Amino acid sequence: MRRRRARPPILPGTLDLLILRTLLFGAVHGHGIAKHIRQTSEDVLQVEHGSLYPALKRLEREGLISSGWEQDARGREMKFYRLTAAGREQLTWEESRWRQIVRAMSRMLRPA
Amino acid sequence: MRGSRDDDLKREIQAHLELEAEERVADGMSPAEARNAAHRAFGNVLRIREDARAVWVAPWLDHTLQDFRYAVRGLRRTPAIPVAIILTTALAVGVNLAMVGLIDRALLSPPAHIIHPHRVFSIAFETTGPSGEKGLVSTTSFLSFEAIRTAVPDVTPAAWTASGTSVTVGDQRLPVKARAVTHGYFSMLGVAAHKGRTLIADDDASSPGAAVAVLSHSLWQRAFGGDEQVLGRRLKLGGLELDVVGVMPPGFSGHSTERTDLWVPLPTAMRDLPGWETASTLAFAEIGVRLPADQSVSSAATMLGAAAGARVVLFPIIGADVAPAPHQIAMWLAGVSLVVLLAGLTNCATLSLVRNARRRREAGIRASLGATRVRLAAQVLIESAIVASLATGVAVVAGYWLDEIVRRLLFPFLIESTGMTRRVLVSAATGGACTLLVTAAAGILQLPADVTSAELRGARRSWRRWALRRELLISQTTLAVVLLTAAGMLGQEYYRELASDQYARIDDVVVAEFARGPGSMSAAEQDALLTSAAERVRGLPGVAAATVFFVLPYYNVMAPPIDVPGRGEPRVDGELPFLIESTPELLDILRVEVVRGRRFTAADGASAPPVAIVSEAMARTVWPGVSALGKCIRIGLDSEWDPRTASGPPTPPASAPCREIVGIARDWQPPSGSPGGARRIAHYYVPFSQGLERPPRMALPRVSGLVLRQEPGIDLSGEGIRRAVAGSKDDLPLLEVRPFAALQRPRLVHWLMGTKLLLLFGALALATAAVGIHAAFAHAVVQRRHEIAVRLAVGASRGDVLLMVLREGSVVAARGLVAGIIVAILAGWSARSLIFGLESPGPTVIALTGSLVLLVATLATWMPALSASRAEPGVLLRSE
Repeated sequence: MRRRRARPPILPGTLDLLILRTLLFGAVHGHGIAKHIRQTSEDVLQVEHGSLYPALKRLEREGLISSGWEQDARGREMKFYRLTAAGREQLTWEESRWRQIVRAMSRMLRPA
Repeated sequence: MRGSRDDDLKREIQAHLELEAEERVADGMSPAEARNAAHRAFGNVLRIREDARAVWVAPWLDHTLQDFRYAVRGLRRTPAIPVAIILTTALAVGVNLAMVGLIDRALLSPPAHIIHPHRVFSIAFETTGPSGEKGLVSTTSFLSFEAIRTAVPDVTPAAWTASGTSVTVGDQRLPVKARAVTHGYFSMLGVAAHKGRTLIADDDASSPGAAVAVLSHSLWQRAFGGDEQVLGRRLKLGGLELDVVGVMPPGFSGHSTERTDLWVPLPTAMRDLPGWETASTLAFAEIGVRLPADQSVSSAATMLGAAAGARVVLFPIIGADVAPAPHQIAMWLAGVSLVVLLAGLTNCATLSLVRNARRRREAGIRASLGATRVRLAAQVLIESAIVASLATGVAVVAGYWLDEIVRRLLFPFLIESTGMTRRVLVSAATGGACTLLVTAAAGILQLPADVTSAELRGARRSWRRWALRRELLISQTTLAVVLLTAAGMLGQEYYRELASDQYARIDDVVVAEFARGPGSMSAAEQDALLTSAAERVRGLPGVAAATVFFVLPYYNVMAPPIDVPGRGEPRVDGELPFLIESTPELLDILRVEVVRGRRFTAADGASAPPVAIVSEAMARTVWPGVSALGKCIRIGLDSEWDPRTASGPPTPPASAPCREIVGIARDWQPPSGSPGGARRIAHYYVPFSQGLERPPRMALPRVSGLVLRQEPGIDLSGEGIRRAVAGSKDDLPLLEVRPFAALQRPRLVHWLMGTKLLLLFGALALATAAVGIHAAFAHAVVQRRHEIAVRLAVGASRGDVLLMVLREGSVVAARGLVAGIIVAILAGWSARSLIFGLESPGPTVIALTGSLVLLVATLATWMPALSASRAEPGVLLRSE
């Protein structure tokens, strides 16, 4: 069995952003989202499934994403999520907020 | 909704796991290994599902729904006790809903459909009696109504008169309560017809050949099956064909809550009484008014009084037409039904305790699995809420039926219920809340305080809890005994009164009379019909004797001017003696004892010498010290006598013959317990065929009804007598057939009604108590199976065990019995001011109640006792 090293969990509040970001390029199912986050962060960010699905349900309830059962490339029935117009707007907002946080953090962490 | 979302999520996670596993297989794992790894990586599926679900359902709501489903499952798994709780509580609450509905309709609410009912009043007129005493009468002549209508038109006066009668629709004959009204009646009440129209001024003026009628909603249903095309159909009333011109809305009963089926124009109803519009002495009309919003009651009374020429009093129509006696009865009923409610709730508590005691183990398991006490209590609350709402639902339905049963039994004059009133709704909600409170309290009380292993094994027995349950059983039995003993007390009064005086001897006498009112016959027709009917009724099986009458002692009165030659007008205890025109048979049927002289015979005909029989009191007072036999009285109505010019009381005309006294009869005692203690009245008899000559202008009948005696042990049906009287005629008013003794003493009827109702309620309470006793003992036997097994193992016989359980049941019943009888006696004492003459329960009542209660308790404990005695000690002891 492949040994895994301990990976940092996702910062609180950023999972929503990551999910919305993942969906920017088209419909993706839950497993795909988790995988995409892991891969694009070069395995650094590990999405806990325990938080992924509740987050998906929450975003759906808030009207930021929508879902539906569709067949994937291999003909399997999967539930696909896509961004709604409100989600797209939210993503822009969340991203700019994130950039502000990152800027603030890096200023603080830069040696004076 | 929730289920489909949850399934969706489940499916989604499943697909996720499969995909994950596939990728691992692609990485070179075995399928089984890959599946496990995928699961491990994913984490606790259940928890994740819970967390996801929490996004769309608030956790408390989720818990509640879960608890609800859990409770429904639990109730369906062991339905016996919940069903018993629901049914017994529903009956107890239903009785109360029925009582609230009846009392509300009779006393508290205004009659339905009346606009601004507080502005509508009925009028009473002050009168002055012969000795100057003031009184109020509610009827007046049409003349004085016309005077009011002309003088005070803006109070919308209307007149009415009413009584029972019967109508024929097709070949169907129905007893109805009809009201003859002036056309202003409906505008006085401010009510419009449901179909068609109400009465208009033209109806009052129309000829009897074109008469019309307005139906109540219930008569429309009963007689015409709710026919939509009813307008223009005909019904027969008396000799008249009436056109239906309107149907009133459901529940409308006119100005009072008295059930009314039919409204006809007053002139139609009065057509057989010539001169009714102009006779100043014919007081038949009751009058109602609607006051304009700006008019005070006192100013209206002044104006009306000036118009009517007498002081008048206005009575609000709410609760009108209900005498004080029904008020008292109603309050009594309310009290009694509260006892039934108490019995029902106590039973509810007992059964809930038993049910939750059975489920303590389950609660223990749930608690040990992490359920908090709050969660367990919420569970109990939800289950109680389900039970309470079901019970309330059943109670509402039961209440509707009980309302109708009690109405028919006790208040047949009251209008039927047409739905839930606000008061009934509030009572239903209160009843439901009490049920919820009791079941929930019984459940939460039994929640395990802490989870012990003993609790889980179900071995711990709490004597405290059994003691509580036993006290509840005793209270239940007590309440049932209170009701049954009260029934016995009223029943014993009934029999005591029945046996105590002379009317008991005429207990087999039945009186048949035509209901008066719209559609009644002319006097001559009635005389001819009843005289010939006496012959036909005599031939009926079960009829020992039958004859006609005009007046019966202490039932109705006739006191014509009387003169004793040489002594003037005789008075006995200040009263004129009353005349009873009597056929020879009537003296026999009423068992009038002639102590001296002779009775009447067939020879005392119209052309025979006039004779009379006087009562002992009259003989003693009028002819003191000498024998009245052979003396003479003269009676008669002087058509010349005019109250305006007369100087003294009316005297017999000079032409009235001398009637020789041929017999002296035993006095009639006033019926015992008559309201206000009726004054003793002296009576005298003349042969029917030598009866009083009626003044021709009054068109009075000579015969008012038939009186008959039934063979011993035979209960004559009213229907048979009705058929014999009516023959082929189908247009007669309803013939009312009633026992004379009951007519004489309404109190007897009240005793009997009260006895019946309390018996009904008592039986209900006893049955409820039996259910509770059965459930509690069945549970106790299961709980004590270990002890019973030990007893059997050490040599007790099965009979011993059977007796042991039965004995415990009897102890409960006996303690309830003693407490119940004491409470009943105390209640009887305190009710003595209300119910005159009520005595403590006699030995018969106590013995009957006691044996009934003990019998029921034994029957209720029999099955549990039997199952205890059949226990297999070996099996039981091994399993413990």
